[in-house]
Formats: sequence, C-alpha cells, structure tokens
Amino acid sequence: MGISRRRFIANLGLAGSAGLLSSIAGELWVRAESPAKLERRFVTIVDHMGWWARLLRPTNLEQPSEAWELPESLAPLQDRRDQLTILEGLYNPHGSGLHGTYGAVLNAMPSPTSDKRSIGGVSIDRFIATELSADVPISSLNFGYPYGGNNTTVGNASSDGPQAPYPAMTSPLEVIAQVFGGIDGGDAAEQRAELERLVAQRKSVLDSSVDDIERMRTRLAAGERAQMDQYLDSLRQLEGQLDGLLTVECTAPAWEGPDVPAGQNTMRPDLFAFFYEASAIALECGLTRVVTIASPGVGGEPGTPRHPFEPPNVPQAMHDAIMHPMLGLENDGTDASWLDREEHVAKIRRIYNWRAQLVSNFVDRLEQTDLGGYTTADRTLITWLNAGGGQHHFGSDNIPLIFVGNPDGVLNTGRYERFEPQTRCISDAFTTAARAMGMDVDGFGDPEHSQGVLPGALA
Amino acid sequence: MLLALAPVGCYTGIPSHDADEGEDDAGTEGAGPQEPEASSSSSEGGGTDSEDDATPEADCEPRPPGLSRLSPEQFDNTAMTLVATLASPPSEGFLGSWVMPSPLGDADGALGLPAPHVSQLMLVAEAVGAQVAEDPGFLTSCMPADWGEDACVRDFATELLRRGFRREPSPEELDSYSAFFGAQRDEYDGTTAVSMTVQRAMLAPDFLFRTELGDGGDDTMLGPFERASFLSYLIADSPPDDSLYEAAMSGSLLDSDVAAEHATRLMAERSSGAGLERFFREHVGYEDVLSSFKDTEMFPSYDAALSVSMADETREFVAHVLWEDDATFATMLTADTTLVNDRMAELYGIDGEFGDAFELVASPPERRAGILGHASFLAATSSNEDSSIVHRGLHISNELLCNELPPPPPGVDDTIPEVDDSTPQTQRERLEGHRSDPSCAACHEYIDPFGYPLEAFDAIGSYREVDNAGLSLDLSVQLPSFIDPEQSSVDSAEQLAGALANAPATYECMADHFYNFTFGAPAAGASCDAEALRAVATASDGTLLELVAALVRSETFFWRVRRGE
Repeated sequence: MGISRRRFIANLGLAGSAGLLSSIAGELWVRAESPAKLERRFVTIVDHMGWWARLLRPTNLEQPSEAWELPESLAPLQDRRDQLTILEGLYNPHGSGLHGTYGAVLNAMPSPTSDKRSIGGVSIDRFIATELSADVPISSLNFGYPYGGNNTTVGNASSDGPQAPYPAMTSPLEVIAQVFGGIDGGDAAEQRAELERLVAQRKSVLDSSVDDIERMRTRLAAGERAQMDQYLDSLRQLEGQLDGLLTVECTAPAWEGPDVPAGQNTMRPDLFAFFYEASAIALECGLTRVVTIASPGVGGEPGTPRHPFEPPNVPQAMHDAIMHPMLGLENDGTDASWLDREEHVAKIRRIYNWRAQLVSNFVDRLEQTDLGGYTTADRTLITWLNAGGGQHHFGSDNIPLIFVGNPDGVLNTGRYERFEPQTRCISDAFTTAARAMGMDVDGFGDPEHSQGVLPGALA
Repeated sequence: MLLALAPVGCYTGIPSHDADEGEDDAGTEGAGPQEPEASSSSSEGGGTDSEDDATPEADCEPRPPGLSRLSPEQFDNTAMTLVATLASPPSEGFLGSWVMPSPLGDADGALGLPAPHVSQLMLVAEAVGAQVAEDPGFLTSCMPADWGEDACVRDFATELLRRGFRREPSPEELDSYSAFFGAQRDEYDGTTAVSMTVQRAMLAPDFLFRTELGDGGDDTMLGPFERASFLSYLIADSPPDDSLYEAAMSGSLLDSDVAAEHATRLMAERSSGAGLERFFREHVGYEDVLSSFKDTEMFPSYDAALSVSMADETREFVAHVLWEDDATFATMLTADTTLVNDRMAELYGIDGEFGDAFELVASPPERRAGILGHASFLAATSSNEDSSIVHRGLHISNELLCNELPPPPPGVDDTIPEVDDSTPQTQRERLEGHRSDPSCAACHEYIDPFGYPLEAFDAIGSYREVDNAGLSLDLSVQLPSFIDPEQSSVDSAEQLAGALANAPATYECMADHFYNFTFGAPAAGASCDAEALRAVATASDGTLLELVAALVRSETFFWRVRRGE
C-alpha cells in the first residue's frame, strides 16, 4: 500500500526534525492562508483505564441533538449537546491489549520494540502543534500524571516520534516557573523588567550551551549525533519560547500550598483545576494553541478515596472500579449480567460524570475570553478520549471518543455515530481533528489502518 | 569466584593507539572539537599501557562508542559535588517523568532530551547556581571581591568543570567559560556570573552525559577519566571520588588490576554502593508498592506510610544482604531474616518493641522466602482486594526469570470467573481454565505455578490460611521444567524461593538485567560480556560484586568499536 507524502508526514518523528517539518510543510500541505485557521486551538484530554461506551449513549439518538438526553455520565454537558460529536466503536490496532493503548493512545502506531507499550510515532496533538503553534512561544503544553515505574507513557500520552515521549508537566510550581516565567511581586513595570532580565540571562546560558553541544557533537560520528541534535533542537525551542514570553502578556495561575512532586499519583481536584486554568490562560494569552491533559486511571494516595467527590466515594482505583468488575462483559449492551453489576456501574457513572463536569467547566472558562468578536471556546476543539475501551485486557477494540466544540463550524456536530467493530481506526478520528484544525492531510498514524476523515464528520 | 573474561578468537581490532597516557591526559580528555575518525594524541586515547597499545582480540563484538545520559540520581549526586550542602536532591520535584533504561530493556525516551526536560533542567540548574553563588567557597578560595581577577575566575571555572565534567578541563573550555563568566560579570555582577556559569556547566553535555568515546577513533579504549566515571556511576551512582579521580589523573586506572581494586573499594561499603542498590530496586521492582492501592474498607491499616515502610523493608533488606551478609541474590530469595520497623512488625505479627528504625529479625516461618515473602512484592502484585495468582506469577516469570510472554490473544476470554456464593471456589479453582484450555495453558503454565504458593498472603501481604471467602488454600504446585528439570513439587513460599534460588534461569536473568543496567542496552543479542556475565552470575549465586569485578577485569569492558554506518 503506497503511502502518500501527506500521510507520511503523520508518521514522521518530530524529534530533532521540527525544523525539517517546518521547511517542508509548505510543500506538502497548503499553509493556512486564513488567520482564523492559525487561531484555532486544539485540546486533548486523555483519560485511562477505560470507558464503557454504553454509558455515554444519549437517549433519543434517532432525533436531532436538541432532543437528546445525555446519560448521567455526560450530564454536565447536556447544554452543549449540539456541540458534541460522540463516536463509538473506534479501534486502535496497536494497543497493548492489557490495560489500554499505552504508547499508541494518541498516535495509533505500532510499537518499535518488543514491548507493546512503547511509543510508536508522533502523537496527534504534537502533530497538530507543528501547524497551529508555528508562531507562538510554546508548541504545546502538556500536563499529566505519570503513572510511575519505568514506563511512564501511560501518563505521558504525547510523543514526538517513536520512543520519543513529549513529557508532561506534573508540578504546579514547575508550570508557573517554566511556562509563565515565575515572576511575581511588584507592579507591572517591575515584573516586566524582571521578566526581561530573566529571559536575557536564560538566553545567554542557552546560547553558550549551544557552543558546548556543538563541541561535543564534533567528537561524535554521524550516527551518534542524534542525541545532540535533539538537544540542540530542544534548546532552540526553549529559546523561541523565551522570546515568546516577551511578546505575550500572561498571568500565571495561582497555586497555594506546597508543590506536588512529580510522579505522584493523584486525582486531586485542586491539581485538575490548576492545570485546566493554566491551559485556559495559555490558550487565551497566546502562549500556545495546543494543550494536552492526561490523567491516569489510578489515582490518589494509598488508602484515600481515589475520586474526591461526595459520597459514595469510589475507594478503588478506576482500574478496579471500572475494568475488573466488567471483565468478560461485552460492551454492546447485550450481556444481561451487566445489569447485575449495578453497584459498580453506579461508581463508574459517578467517575464519568465528574470528568464530564471538568470538561464542561473548562469550556465555560474558555467562553470567558473575548478574542475580538469571538471567545476562545469558539476557536477550540476538544478531543476527549480514553486510552481504553471495550473489554478489559482488550481495551483497544471499542474506544469512545468525544469531540467538544466546533471551531469555525468545520464539523458536523450534535452527532452520535457508532461504527461496526474493526471498521474505523481511531486514527481516522485524529485525521478528522487535524482537518478540523485546518491541516490538509488525508491520513494519520498507521497507513495500514488509516482510511481518512470519518464520513460525515466535516461540514 | 571470578572467571577470566579473556577474549579469544578471531576478531582483530584496528591496532595501535598512541600510548601517551597518564599525566599527559590532563586537560585533554574529551577536549575540544575532534574529528571522530582522528586518532589524536591530544585526547584520551586507547591502549592500556606501553606494553600493549593494540585493542584486544575477541570473538565477540565490543560495544560501540557513545554517550550515556546520567540518571536522575546520578545527576543529583553530581550536582551535589558543586555545592557544600543541599537541603534536598536538586531534581526532586522535577525530572519525575525521566525514563531511564530499565532492566527490562530499552525504555521510551531513555536517551532523549526533549524540550520539556531541558526546561526542567534549566530550572534545576538555576536553583543550584543560586546556591553556589551564595557560597562559592566550595569551589574556589577566591572571595567575591576577587571576581574581577582573571586568575580567580579561571580557578573557579577549573574546579567547576573538574567536578561537573569529571575530568580535567581543556584550555579551550577554560577560555570559553572564563570569557562567559567575564561577560556576565560585566553585564550584571560577580554573583550573577557565578550562578550563570554554573547553569551553563550543568546544561553542558559533558555534565549530563557520561562519555564512552576514548580517543574518538573507530576502535578505541576508554580513557582513564571515562573509566573512572563508568565505574563510579555504575557502583556508586556518583561521580568519581578523590581517590578514583587521582588514579585517573595518574593514568594508573588504565591498569585493570588498579581498576578492579577501586571497584572492590567502592563495593565494600554501602555509602559508595548506591548504584548497586538501585540495580536491585529496578530488578526486583520493590518500589512498585508505592503506587499500589487497596480497598480501604477491607484493609483499613493500609495507608501511604505503610506502603513506604514496605518498600523500605526491602530496601534495607537488600542493603543488609549486600553489605552485611553474603551479597548473593540467592540469599535475597531465601533468607530467613528480614528487617522491620513498627509498622512492618505489626503487619507480620512479630512480637517485640519496634520503632521507626529497621531492625534485623528472624522472619516468621511462613515468610522465610526472602523478597518473595516481603509485603512490598506481595502487595504490589495484588489487586485492590485480593491476591493475584497471575500477577505474582507473571512478575516472577517475566522479571525474575526473563520469560517474555505475549498478552492474551484477542478473542480469548481471559476473565477470572466471579465469585459465586452458591458454589464457592478459591481463586486457584476459578483459574482452572488456565490449565484445562490449551490456548491458555500454553502461557499460563509459565505463570500460574509461581503464584500458587504465594496464595498464603493476602492483598497487602498479610499471612493467611484461608482466602477472603474463608476457603482453605492449596499452595502446592509442580514446578515447570525450565525451573526444575525434575519438576519437583513445592507447597510453600519458602520452597518456591528455594527452587528459584537453585535455578540457573534466575541468575541468567539477573545477569541480563545487570548487563542492561550497566550498558543501557539489552543483553539479548549482545556481544562481549553478556554470556560471561551469565556464567559468573550462575556460578556465584548471583553475587553482584562478582559480576562487577568480572566486568572490570574484562578486556572488552572498556573497549569500544564503531560499527559501519
């Protein structure tokens, strides 16, 4: 099967080659001529440990979305149902098969190693960032909750290529310092002066580091220079980010109390709130146009309720609350014994409801910003998905995905579509998202499974 | 017991390097731009001593030259040599998502430095730089008032780079860093210049990476400073101490006997053996319990502090075996003692007065299975509510025996039948399908047997004689032939641990993991040293100290050959 050049771009690793992509992008797809396209925002929200599609199905599906009644799981989005595109039945051919799709969750590419959890290619958010964030300081912001252990790809869903994770930030103080410059105190002029000083110093250090890297690089043979090339590329990205800090006016979100150490499993609502607020600010003030927020299926310190909402709490991890009790059940509503699991189902509904509320709150927040005749929400497409779907231990065969929003009316929203098993790969949803962001591509991920834009998805 | 790893056979390396070692290496190792194909006498070069300039001969392929990124622990320990005191590891709170090569093979992102990581490094370097600027006396005798003096600036830069780069800096590097310092001093002030110069050094690849480049040739031996770093980071997770640095400086480290002596010295004490402990932390995986969650209603005593105590028990136990016992993995598997604090003593039902500190005690009879009897292992390989025969068996099979088993094939119903109150069954009984269905048994015969004897422990590692439903437990099992050719039967954790300790596969797996740990590359398909390591590990019951000693004495350990591109 031949691979079109446009599709090939989808598989090209970004590590060390961002410059390459930038230089050839103009040849391979039409550069967005409309400023509106460049102003679109793309947000990816990745949960883990499974979704059960049946719990996401609205009632009255045969009628227009205005007549829909969203289930409890999605009830917080009821008022936005006409902006939703709910997809069921997508598959990911490269999931690990055990606990979701791990390294393939946002790239749908085969693992390059014997470990199926390894990252196979560039993720859709990073891919879209090459287009949307070409002229903003930060290519994409990634917030997440690393699951821990040697393989942290569960929490770090984004990637710049095979085995090249684009790590998420997990610490609020790191976000404040790294993304927003960490300047506080004093009046606006003092803060500005301090920021300029900080940027100048950091750039001096980075400039000199380039010299050190070049010196090391000359000691290496051609085949050994990839690490240094990536390091150089990263430094240049940071320099660009620093320059960008001076061109935008952003106010860091507040964080009270001690920092949250990296790697700590937690579903703390204050952390969620912080990351969503940081995302909204960054999207509004022009720091970036692409944000990804990934959360693990487990969370909370041992012995504490994992999902911090009103009783009944869910003491187990999402993994145990959702996936294990549903072992063996088909996800098509035909298994009568599913009804016997009502205790578990109730917990699951509460978890989904809570997460849907977070999404709804986030959209509310994005609607607060007037960008000149429109709000940030008007320009934002949220892709909300789970790394798993379907039967536990085979979580790649029925992945629900929800688009929230409709920038520039590019999508046919207010739709629910259920695909027959193994007919549409999740990469088609990613292709649809990329096209919605104005990218002229007709495929993404594994070309053996990518068929292009989902039928009827685009307006 | 050492086995000589003298290479034999038909490989002939590219002969002859300049024998110009020793003091002449000062200021030149890794210095300045070099053409990779050049065999420059002005740089750390190959060769061992004046009597043997040629690289060794071997019937295996030596490892290629390259760079090895410091782990977060190594990074912290190196940064700490720049500052007299640090309240906490510099990268604490950062770098949490860094992924390093794991014993199980190459890990994603293990070698890369994506922009978010570099950004984190920059913040860490700023924090360290600020601390150095507050008290630069650790690096120089010059006072802040002297920052206008070139000699003082150069003195500061020399010590900074010597510690940060773990070698003597080249004149070119000193010129560059001194000029950088001067520029920042003139732009801002001396204190800021100190901070920024430290930041630059910490972001330099010579700080972040350990080099294995030798003289830059295609067939080369690691130079003395590279050897010093290799040994020190492997064993101690830290840069070379003064003694090792001096040996590198003098060139004596090029003598394998001297290198072995230093390795032995470092391995003699826990204070310089952090790297070896980290190996076992990764090989055994005992910190997985820190992210293990349990049903709070079923296990009200289980909390974050208990999970920490569980991990600490195994950490202290490993250290005890390494530094105070016979240092064998066999003992780690079969010991009838452990170390407990008050929480662990309570969990294990050990009588006595215990506090926060860990004390050596005799293990209860049912738990005399070394690490397999530790709650850290048992809890981490259980579900929220119950033990897991499959997870425990899988951990042993995959990670202690290196059996790589595929996931269940699509379409196979891998579910454990739910508990049916009308016809109660134990978990083992509910897993009957794993044995009766050939499509399941093909893999599960290598998994489940290791979990049956451990059913004596519940989801948090407490001993039990009946399961959650009050049913009696059958712990007996016939071991797979690859563990015991006679397929003996065992019916306790202690017997299982004994069988594993007698199985060559246990030590071969440990050796493979150690190979990966040492070189950052999988042992499978590896060339020199991997097979020899397996032999040493098997012969020594998994004595890590023997593995290190064998590597150090190997003529191929420090040998690098660049393959065709």
